[in-house]
Amino acid sequence: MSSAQFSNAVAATVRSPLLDSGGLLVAATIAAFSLLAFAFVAAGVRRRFWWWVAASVHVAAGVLLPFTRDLLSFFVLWEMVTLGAVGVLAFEPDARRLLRLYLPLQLLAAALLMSAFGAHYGVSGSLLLPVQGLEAGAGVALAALSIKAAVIPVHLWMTRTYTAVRPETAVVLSAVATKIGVFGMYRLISGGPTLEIAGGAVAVVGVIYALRQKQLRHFLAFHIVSQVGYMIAGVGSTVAFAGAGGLFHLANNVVYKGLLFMVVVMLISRFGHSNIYRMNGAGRSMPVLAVVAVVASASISGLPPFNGYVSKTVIEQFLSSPVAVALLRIAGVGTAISFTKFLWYCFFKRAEPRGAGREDTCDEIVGDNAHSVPARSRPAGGGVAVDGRPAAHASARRRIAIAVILSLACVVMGLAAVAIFPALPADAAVTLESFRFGLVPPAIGVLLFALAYSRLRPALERLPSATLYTRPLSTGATRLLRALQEQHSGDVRRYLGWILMGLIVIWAVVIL
Amino acid sequence: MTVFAGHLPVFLIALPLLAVPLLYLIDRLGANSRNVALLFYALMALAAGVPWLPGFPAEVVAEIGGWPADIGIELRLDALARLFLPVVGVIGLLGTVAADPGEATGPFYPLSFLLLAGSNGLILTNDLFNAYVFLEITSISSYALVGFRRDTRGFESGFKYIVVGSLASVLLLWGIAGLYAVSGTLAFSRFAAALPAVPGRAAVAAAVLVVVGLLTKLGIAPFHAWKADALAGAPRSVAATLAGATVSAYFVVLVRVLTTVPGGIGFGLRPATGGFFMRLSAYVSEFVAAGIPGMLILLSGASIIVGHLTALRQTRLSRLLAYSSVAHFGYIIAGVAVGTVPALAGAFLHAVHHAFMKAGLFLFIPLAADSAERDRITSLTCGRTAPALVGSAMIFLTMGMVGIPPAAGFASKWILVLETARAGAPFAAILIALGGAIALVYYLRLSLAAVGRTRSSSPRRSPADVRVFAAFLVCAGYVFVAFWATDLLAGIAISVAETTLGGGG
Repeated sequence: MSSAQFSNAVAATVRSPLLDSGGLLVAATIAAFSLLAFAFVAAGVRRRFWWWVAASVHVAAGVLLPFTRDLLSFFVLWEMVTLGAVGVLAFEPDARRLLRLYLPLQLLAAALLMSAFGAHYGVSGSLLLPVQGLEAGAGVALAALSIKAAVIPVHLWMTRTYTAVRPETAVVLSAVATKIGVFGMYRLISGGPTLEIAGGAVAVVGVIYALRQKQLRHFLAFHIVSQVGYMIAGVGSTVAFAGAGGLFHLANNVVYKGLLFMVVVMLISRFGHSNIYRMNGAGRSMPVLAVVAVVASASISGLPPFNGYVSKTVIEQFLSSPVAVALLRIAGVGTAISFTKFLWYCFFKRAEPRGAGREDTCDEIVGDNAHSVPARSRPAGGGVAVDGRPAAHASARRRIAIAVILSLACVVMGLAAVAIFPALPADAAVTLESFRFGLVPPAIGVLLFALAYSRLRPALERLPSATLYTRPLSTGATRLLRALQEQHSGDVRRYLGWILMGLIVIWAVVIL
Repeated sequence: MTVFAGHLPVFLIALPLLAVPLLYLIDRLGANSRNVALLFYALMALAAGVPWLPGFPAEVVAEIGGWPADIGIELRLDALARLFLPVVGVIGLLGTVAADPGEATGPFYPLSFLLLAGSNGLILTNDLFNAYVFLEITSISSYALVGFRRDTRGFESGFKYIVVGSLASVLLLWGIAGLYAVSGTLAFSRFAAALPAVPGRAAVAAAVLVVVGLLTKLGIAPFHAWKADALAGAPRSVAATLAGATVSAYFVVLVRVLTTVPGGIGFGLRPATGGFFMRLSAYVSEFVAAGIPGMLILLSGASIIVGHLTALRQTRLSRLLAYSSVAHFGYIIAGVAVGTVPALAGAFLHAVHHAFMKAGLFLFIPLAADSAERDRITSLTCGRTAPALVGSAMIFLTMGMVGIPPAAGFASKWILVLETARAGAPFAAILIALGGAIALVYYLRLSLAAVGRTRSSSPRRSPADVRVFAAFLVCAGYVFVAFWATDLLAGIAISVAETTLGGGG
């Protein structure tokens, strides 16, 4: 291998980028969205210089990654995405401790990816980006990409950090890391019906867990998991149009999920907490925000003519496995239920009295959400600005403007889908026909919410949480480390015993 | 040039040996031997660089007293020696520069030169028995240096090191006797001719003894447990020399043994066909049949796991670094076992990088601890002299250890991962790659502990501090320069690997 590759992975990508419509779409969406997200953050609390540097590295690496031609550059940029995020987390007062979870999982992903590339190189002798998926180590690479894409059950790094950072930071983070994981699947994995079904299953499980959340940001984080399921079903299919649909869904998701995070930021700064059930009808005091939220919710629920409708329809139309399609339909209804709940409780319904909602104040998935709203971020949105600076109003107006731009983007991406992303099938457009069929699943969702949600809630509460597997894992690891420590406690006789035993075992294996 | 070149191998061993009584005498006469020692050491480091001068012959063979290699002492300055002589010389020099003047009294400098003579001899010798002699010289001087801090902990470390090291020497000697009995020669360059291409059981058994003896000296699991005890009790400058320079010399002997004894390296499994269990059983049986290379791959995997996981729980930096060495030699041995040109080149490159990084991190301890004995991670600061610089250099060194791009260590690890995966040992590749992930956790702990702390209140700032500081910065500088010179270094390592494999048959 030419060693010039080592020092120049990034330069090589810039010098001879791989330009295909999928990569361009993803990179352009992430870049454009991130600029708006940066403006959104800049309108709020001041960030430290190094926060901006880290966030820029995170985003820039994510934008460059779709253009790489070779696996080494892919790996280096992948690592830069991680390092940028680590830098951002290091400057987040409440999220720094989560690096203990975030780093090991991300590094595990990096290690797996590196080994998969090694295996592929061993078989194919080339480090160029494979055309037909990795020739060897695809399973290992898939594990790595799943971690990055925050697939259940390795989603914890995402759901826990995105909910612990200052709310605005989640807007920036939501656009890159998981999307890179999905994009990597598009580039590296050849896929098949199994992956389609896996994607569908992730979408369903993600929605179920999202439905039971009471904190706004947990709710959105689990919807990321669910949406990633859609994308995996799309890019994991061998059908080219389904892959295109998956990528378009990725781009759409960057826009509307970022928009939803912005809405949540503004709700949190208005009310000073993030409990869905105690938002007290924000629609009356923040009508523009309510409209934006409706647009974003409609997009994510796949309502025509918004962008989510187009990509969801394309994916469901071209998947080869009927099971996967069925799972995605179920997830679609679940998403509709979930976002009806979001709109209803946050914008239209008056708050539940405090005493009645006693059990709502804590979230059992994380359990430490009591301080999830850093006091520092509260004045930024205007409403409860204690210091009453006029600047707060200006910044709130700027934020609303950014959100409105993004909601327009949701409409434009829906109406001009084929013009924006030519790889989509030519008939993937919003027509009158689409209103007939497209409205059915969301309507079922709204209906189910109205009729059955109150009965569903206690059942959702009883679902097992992630501690089901995190606790035995951590106790097992502790025990293993303690046993190792025991073997190195300074007893020379034990050292000699190990040497002789090792020698005898080796002799036995090598000679006999 | 050629006349001079012919004597250089002798010069590299004889001169440090000559320095031993000289420095002892100077010390006994009451004069300060320190400056003489430093000057002399610098001269030796320069001499180790001489083979890199243009016009120097590619290989120099010195037969002492004109006796041929079978019966005499033959020294051979080949590509491998040329690569590792400067590593041993420069890191030894850095360790000597950084020695605490309060500790480095009496026989300290003579012992350092004995260590240097032994290490250079190990690298240069073409004869297994001479290698044993030099190995004893090196070991005995290092036992003495480890126990040099005359307190309980120093004695305990030295004692444990002696006990385990002696067992290793005995195994090695048995193995050498066995190899001699089977092949009738002890010269590395003649094993290939004297042994059949597929050696018999007796030869393999003897070779295993030699290899296990050397692996114990290197610190490969499960023969590694002494390492943390020895390095933690040694004076810091000695620990830096042992972990960087001396280990490299042992490594060279191991490479020579493995590349010259038939069947020593060359791990490559063909992908099997059939169902999962068919393939699995074929893989396992092929693995067992792979002999010594298969064993080396397994041991390297064990080293990576045990080294990194044990390092995770350490509270003292020197022990942490020792366990990290275990894991890193696991990486290196995996590359050697695979034994293709790029894999071997990756192993050499990583050995050189690791030597500088590890020496640098050991030199960080005297800068960061408020007294020589204390190296608890939670009590470390970034030193008294230029804490920002020390802190960032330390973080840079740990980045190199983990293998994060702008520091050396990334490229070599990348090669090792690719080549082990290609040779059919994907689990070793995964372990090498995963190792970095675990290492990042404990190095991050170190970085956060040291950088997050404000400067220590003690105003002690001695000339010794400045010397340690300088030696530390040289190591960090190497890690920085080596990343940008990756092309050059990889080219050198590849040519060395080619000659090593070509010469060994």
